[in-house]
Amino acid sequence: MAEATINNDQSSEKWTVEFSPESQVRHPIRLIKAICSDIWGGRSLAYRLFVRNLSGTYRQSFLGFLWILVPTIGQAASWTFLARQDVVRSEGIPGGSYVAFIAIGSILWQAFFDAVQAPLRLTLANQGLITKLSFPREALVLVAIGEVIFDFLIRFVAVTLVLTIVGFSWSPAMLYFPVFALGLILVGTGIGLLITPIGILYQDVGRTLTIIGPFWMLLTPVVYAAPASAAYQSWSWLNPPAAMLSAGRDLFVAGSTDMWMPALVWLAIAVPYLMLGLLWFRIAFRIFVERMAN
Amino acid sequence: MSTAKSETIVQVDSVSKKFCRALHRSLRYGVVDMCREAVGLGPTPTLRKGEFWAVKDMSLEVKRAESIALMGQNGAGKSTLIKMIHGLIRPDSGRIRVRGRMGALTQLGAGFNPVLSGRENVYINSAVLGFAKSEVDKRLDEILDFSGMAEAIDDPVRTYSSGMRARLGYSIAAFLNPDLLLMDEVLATGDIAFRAKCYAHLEKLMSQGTSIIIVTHMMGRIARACNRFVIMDQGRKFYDGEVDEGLRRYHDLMKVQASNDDSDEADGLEASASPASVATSSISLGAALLESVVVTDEAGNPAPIIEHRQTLKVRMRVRANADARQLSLELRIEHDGDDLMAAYYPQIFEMREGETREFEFTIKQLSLLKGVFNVRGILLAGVPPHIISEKQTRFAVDSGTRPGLFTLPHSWNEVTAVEVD
Repeated sequence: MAEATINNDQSSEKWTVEFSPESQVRHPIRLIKAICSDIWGGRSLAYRLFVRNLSGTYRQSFLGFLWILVPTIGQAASWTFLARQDVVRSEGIPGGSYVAFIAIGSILWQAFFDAVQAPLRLTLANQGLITKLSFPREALVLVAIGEVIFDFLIRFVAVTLVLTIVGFSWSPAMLYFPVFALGLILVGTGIGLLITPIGILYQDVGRTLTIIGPFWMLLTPVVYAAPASAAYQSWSWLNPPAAMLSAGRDLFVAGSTDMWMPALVWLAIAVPYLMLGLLWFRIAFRIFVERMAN
Repeated sequence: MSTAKSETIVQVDSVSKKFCRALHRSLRYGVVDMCREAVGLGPTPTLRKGEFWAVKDMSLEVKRAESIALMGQNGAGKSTLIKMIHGLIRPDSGRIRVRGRMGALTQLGAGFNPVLSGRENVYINSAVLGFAKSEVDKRLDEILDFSGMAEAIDDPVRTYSSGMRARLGYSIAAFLNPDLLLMDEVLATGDIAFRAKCYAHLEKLMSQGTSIIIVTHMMGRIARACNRFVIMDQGRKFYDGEVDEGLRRYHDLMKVQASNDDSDEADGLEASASPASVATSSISLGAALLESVVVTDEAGNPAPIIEHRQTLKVRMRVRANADARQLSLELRIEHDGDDLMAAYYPQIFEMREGETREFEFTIKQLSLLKGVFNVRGILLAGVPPHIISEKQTRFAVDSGTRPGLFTLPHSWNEVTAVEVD
């Protein structure tokens, strides 16, 4: 659908907004401008919704923000226990500290997978707003990214504190870590936006996501170092989080990585990937809103 | 806001919108439509299997300072049209253009988080409606004053009644200064005093030059305050013009539809299943159920239209699913949605499991005048009594052109002495 926003300040001849059935993709420049304009215009609303969600989520909770740490603590404790029982092999992992390896891998995976789930979760949670009021819909995407980054930072600070206490040694290569973390969040959000429109129509998408999460994690080098085999390297190119997670984690715990090339390629396409998700979300938005319960 | 009254604020050109009632087919069409949109094709121009036109070839032009009552039965297409003007859903054909800032009162308190306080929710709701925090800071006292919620503003919203939420929601939205205000039956909740306050506020907005489109199916005060009537019927424009003529046409439309619904019913006592004389809600706690509420004439025949001064009877059928004591029936006559005009309470009664009883309520010489009224039957139980089941139906009164809602017993006498020169 064409949705043209026209500046009306100077001339009474012009319309402020126009709605027609014409496909939005027939005017790609206008479409991209509208997305950028709504991202900018929706930042204040996004902040309010972010604060609302944050306050609302933990106000009735005894443990509060500690719940954000539970997945990371659970992952690190479980896999470290299994490694000490020789159920999983921990020899030869980058950096030598399996606890650091698992903890950092876990927070990166958690950030990525949270980002995949966030657009669908937030769209469903705000359907009362979406079906009744017109507001910059990209604000929901900003809230999704904001919530994932917030949770990631809480986990990162907690893990960093623990590693500092146990005498973990730091290297300058760690400075690359936030870049790859951000890349993972953007790619994850892009995937989330691509699946959200179908996920609104069919609940199968949300259920599938819940089920494939653990399998996807096991197919990603979160709790093990990426094998050097050609087959696994090819898989790392295809699996969106694999290369960036591996590179970010290895640089943090060991100061070097073998995954530079695929990680940089995925990093380079992170923003276009997110843009692709935003475009699909935008053009599908009013079609799925028609079919949302209200 | 420009003050040129001839300026067109909304232009709706031959707009149509189709929907599909079947869930699975609708979802499948949704996926197809998304793919069509992605490859630049747009919506299909014709109806697919299972689809119907919710709005068809609708055109409308709204000038600055015009206030339009958009009326019609449920399913007439009013809300769909408003959603398209608001930009929530797209038209399948035609074009909609809007000039200036648009405000919408379509759901009061949308986005309220029940765990947060009223004050926190004021800021959140304002952001959704497009207010900056600094604007809200300036207007917070006005909002609290208008809503009358100052004392409860720091309590969690979940402790508010639905009426309190609506009051706060309206008060936030009321301080928008739009060129066009869209309203979709949001004033059904809230007490009468607050609604009167909202009506006064809307009338003030109208006088200040805001264009307003109000969706309603009630011929209440605010509809009468509008300077134009648009009636929709089955997705199409049925009438567009003056208020007085619009009221007459709407009343006639209601009568025709009520008659059609009545003639469709083989069994008069089951008329509660039809759309116009309908039981729209049923709240049963299990012990007993108010099965039907039917308006009949003096002879006991279902009658959706009663003549002024004729006998009105209401039959209510109650079925007991278990032995029940301390049951009582309440009957309310309402106007303008839920403005209570009269309430009646019969004796307390008991029922045994499986028993069905029918009660008849009679008003002789009906004093109501021309209009459409609700009859709400309420089944109560226990001490103190609480509602366990509820049903309502509607009827129209025909009284010619006599103004007002009802007549009272009266007499005229001249009391001046006759002077003779």
